[in-house]
Amino acid sequence: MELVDVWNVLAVGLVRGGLYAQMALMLALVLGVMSIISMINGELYMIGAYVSYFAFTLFGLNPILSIACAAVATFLVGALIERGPLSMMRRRAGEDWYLNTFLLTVGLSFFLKNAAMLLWKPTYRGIRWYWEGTVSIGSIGISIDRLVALGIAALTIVALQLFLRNTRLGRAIRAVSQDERGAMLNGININTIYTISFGLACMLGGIAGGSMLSILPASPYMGTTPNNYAWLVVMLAGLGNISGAVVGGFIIGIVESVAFQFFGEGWPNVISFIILIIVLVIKPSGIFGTSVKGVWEQ
Amino acid sequence: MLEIKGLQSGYGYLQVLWDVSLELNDGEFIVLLGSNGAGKTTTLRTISGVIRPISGEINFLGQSIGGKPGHEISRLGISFITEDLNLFPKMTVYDNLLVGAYSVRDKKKIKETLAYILNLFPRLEERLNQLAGTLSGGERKMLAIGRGLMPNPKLLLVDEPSLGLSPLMTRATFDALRKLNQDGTTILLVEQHLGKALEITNRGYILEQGKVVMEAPTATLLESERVKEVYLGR
Amino acid sequence: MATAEERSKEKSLASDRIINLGYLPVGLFFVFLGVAPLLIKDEYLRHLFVVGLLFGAQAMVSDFTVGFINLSNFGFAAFFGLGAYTTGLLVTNFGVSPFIGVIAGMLMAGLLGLFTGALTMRLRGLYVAIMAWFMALALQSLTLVLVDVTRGAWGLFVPPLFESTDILPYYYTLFVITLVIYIVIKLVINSRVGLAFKAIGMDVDFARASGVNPTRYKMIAFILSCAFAGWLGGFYAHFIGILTPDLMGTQHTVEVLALNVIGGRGSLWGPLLAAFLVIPPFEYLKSLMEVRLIIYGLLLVLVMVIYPAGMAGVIWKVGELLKLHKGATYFGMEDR
Repeated sequence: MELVDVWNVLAVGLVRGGLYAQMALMLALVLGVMSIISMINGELYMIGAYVSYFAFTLFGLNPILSIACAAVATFLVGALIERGPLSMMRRRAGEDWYLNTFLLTVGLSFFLKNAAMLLWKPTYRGIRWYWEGTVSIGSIGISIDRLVALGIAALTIVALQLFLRNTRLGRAIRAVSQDERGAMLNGININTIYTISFGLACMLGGIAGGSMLSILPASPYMGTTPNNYAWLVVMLAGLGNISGAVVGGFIIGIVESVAFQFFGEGWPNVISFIILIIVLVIKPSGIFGTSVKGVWEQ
Repeated sequence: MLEIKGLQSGYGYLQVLWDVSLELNDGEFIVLLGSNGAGKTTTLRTISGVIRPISGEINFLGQSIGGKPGHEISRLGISFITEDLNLFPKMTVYDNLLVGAYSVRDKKKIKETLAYILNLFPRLEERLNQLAGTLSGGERKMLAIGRGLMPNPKLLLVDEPSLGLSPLMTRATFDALRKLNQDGTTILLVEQHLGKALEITNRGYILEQGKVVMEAPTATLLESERVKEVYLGR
Repeated sequence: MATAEERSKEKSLASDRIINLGYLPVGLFFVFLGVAPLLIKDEYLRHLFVVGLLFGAQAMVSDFTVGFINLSNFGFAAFFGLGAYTTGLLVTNFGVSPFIGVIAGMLMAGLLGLFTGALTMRLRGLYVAIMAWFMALALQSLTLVLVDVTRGAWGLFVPPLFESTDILPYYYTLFVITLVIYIVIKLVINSRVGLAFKAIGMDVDFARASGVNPTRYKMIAFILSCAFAGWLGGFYAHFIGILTPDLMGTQHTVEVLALNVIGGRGSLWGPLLAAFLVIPPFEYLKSLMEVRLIIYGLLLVLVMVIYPAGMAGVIWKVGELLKLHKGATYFGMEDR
């Protein structure tokens, strides 16, 4: 294998890793703050991709604005989902909360992806590039779009961490994830925090979808695999660990890329899942695992 | 300041409070006495909005607060230090205190209150960057009280502050509460540790099976046959 | 307000949830299932009966874990699919009799259940559910990739169970399987082991305190349920004649869990009944792929939002209003 190939595999793996890290964060956020088994991560990613596509091609917005549109739209969709079905369900059902959230979000995901299918048919809607060109160092090169996508992923992850650590709202979100009654007694409106957290999580997916549009075109079912991988990453890293999820995202991205290079179509799934099963046999709570609550620390 | 009339409250189908009427005046330090299951904690939970009352009136500063959500009641100026403290174990002491000041927007005010609290509990200053989950029992209690003070509450509800503390720490906690009261905070205390509680409070109520059965200044309570018999074991 | 922690506690009021109508209505329902296809002459309706019963039986098997040990199996389809592919491969490659193949499928699914459970059962229920889901994803991708063995997405052709093309023998085979599964589950629930299940369903700590080993009993229930899923899968293989990896997909699991919830958790008969009400219209809509799935998604959301207790809950409530049951009340929260 030549250096160029190694580099290509690595580049693809890193970009996919950025995607999985963002998706895993998205999932960990709602799991940690609201104890929700979310299965609509992929659909928010899909919506983000479509919004950016239409903003970029139909309205001719510049790339950054297109991605920003995806962020805003997915935040709103997320807030709407939380204010609507999720909060309605929260008021009703006490028992089997996990199964309830799983089924509710699966129902929403079926609805969203098939509505997209009905609206936009299974055609791929991609763009050739946001920014044309490649950056090359010697014999190896990477397209600007990939570089930017990776940069945006890193930026979102860091920004989210800073937000949660250093702002009033971020502290409130962490407080709710650790002790809801304590948060409420300190004047925090838990329902507002839920809506904001869910919206933020959805926004992460939307940004991922928008920023990778030229690499992964928009299509109705595009979210299924990233959703599965996000869960894989979170389980692999351990449900309680956030920096673990980011590291895990990049590991899985690279594993996927390498597996594809050596074994071809279909095998990355098998290999990733087998890795997960082996890890869980050795350490059932995941590589860095602790407890589910208080996901934001360590 | 706080006026409760004919309060009934409980959990689901389990009614705990049948008829509770209380009155707290500005600057008072009141103790709520009663055996286990008499409804002391339930009273505090209902006032603070953790649970909703079944019926009855709760008026705070001339405003009806019965049935309001907990965060709104907290913003009106009532802080509730619960028995299990409800700290955020994986946040630092400093962050815990800042969450306490969630509803305060004025940065200068936050700084002042923080200085006041760290002066009241110097131990917290040493532990400022430590995770709350790693504190000792007494320090956790101080942090909970400190966090409750961050929004400058007008009324402080304190549930069993002496629980699980050494006599020394209990004394320190009570001294802090007394100082707070002297500085102008009205306090409603629930306490099993009677001797000490009666020393520092002005007035007390006795709850039995969800009803107020007696109300008197603490000096009178100390002399009362009933209190001697049931609570002081004399 | 219940906090998320309280909501996610693996603790529920199983005694309220075991919605028992008594033997008469359930018996009548089974008699109806046994007789109806004989009276119906229409082939398509008979086909709907088989499909309805097949999904109903799966939902019932799923309810065995959801309703009694508080454990949802997000990988249900894997166990069903493993049963199907096991018998399919044995019969086509080694000429084994389908009847033995189906039993082998059941054993394989039970073994996978043992493996999954052994890995995760000591952890919280969430891990079991998600782990089982990954088992399903792994098996699905493996079947897709091992084209030489499974023919992948081309589909594996499986010989039928009977020589004749008449559908009735299939229906009655499935009917007997369902009845046996129902009886076994009932026997387990009413046995000493069942008492332990109920204790676990109510409160794991309580069960542990009273000397019951929850992990062991959970394992028994989980493995049994996986094996039953495999058994049904084996039957399905020989009924439908062609197997594709979609069989193990998340969508299949969701369909089963949805029926379970729509029918009502913890009743066994509710999910069975739900299948007969929900599956026929959906079979009818099969050609409208997206619309069907949109309706499915909406239905699922509606049930979760409006009445999570499901149909059995409604029927039970009606019965309660008619004074057929003594009112059961429970306390919402503990006071400390």
